[in-house]
Amino acid sequence: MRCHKCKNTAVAKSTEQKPLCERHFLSYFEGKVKKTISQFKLLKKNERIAVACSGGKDSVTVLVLLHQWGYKVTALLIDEGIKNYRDRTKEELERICKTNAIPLRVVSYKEKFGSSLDGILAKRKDIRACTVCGVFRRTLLHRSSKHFDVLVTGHNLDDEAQAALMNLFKGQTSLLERMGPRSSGEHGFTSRVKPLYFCTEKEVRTYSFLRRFPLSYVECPNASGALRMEFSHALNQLESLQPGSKLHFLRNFLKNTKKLHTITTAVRHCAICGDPSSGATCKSCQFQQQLVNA
Amino acid sequence: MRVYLEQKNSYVNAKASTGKDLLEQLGFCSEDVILTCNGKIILPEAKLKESDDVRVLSVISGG
Repeated sequence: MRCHKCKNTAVAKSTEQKPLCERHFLSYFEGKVKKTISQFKLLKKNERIAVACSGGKDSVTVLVLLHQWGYKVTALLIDEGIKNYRDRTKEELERICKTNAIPLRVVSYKEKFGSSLDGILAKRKDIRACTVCGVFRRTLLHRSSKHFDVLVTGHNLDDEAQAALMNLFKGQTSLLERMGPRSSGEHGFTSRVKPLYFCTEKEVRTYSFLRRFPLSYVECPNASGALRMEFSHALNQLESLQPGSKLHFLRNFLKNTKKLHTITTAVRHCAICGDPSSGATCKSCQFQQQLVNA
Repeated sequence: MRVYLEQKNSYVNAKASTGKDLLEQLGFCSEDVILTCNGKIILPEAKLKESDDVRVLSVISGG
């Protein structure tokens, strides 16, 4: 199959199912990210930008692109302490940051909470890794990005479509209204933006392969049993039968979320750490007391 | 042909004339993976030869 623009061999298809060669796919992808940034006013050139990096394809793609386009970025890696996974991606990220002269800041669970995730899971077999990890990661990203104007994450279209579907499935309407390419910096949170919001995971993998980013593309060992994977496979099955389904779903979802009348929980401050919290103490401090200090 | 499966870090033998045939035989959804042939990404519609070095790369990584 030939590229619809230049007749070279096609390597991928656009959302509109038009075949694209390597060169035209790269420019199609970058154009899509640029359009998301400008359409949703995600970033300004003079802002101090922290990019939440795992060392995976999504965060590395957004980090390198923003750096290449002249944004003032600092890579921020949360090291949970997951053996044979985070140590590998951390090493890869360190190499990429060094090559591109991008500042890198590493914050670890061990240093901030007194135990690695592996350490917590070794002590408590009844705890699901993603439950603890989601809370601790969010806390450290919040605390470490306080001195930045904006926090960029590498969330892609698949992540967002899965989250929308899961929140609908669980009836978590209060979470639905927070979705979108930008979340405001209310209640002391640094505003978060997602420049890859309209890029599918497959497009990001294709882009990072074509750019030859030196990554090992490993999957978190704790992710395999997660419910999110089931939603991911279901959405991809639908996408293969009806190309463009995920984008269509997410666009309609965003349009209709604005009409939802959700109950917004009042934000207080945690009695222990002072971070914004919906309860008297935040989830992170509760976990630290129950799982680390116990 | 010998096909490398990135997710399992292993090889399997298969006989397929196109990428689409191969994915169907191996039970992969085309949205979950990308295919490379002799080091270059190919579309599932692309034709395959017995001597090709084919790899099935997982789209999902990270966590």
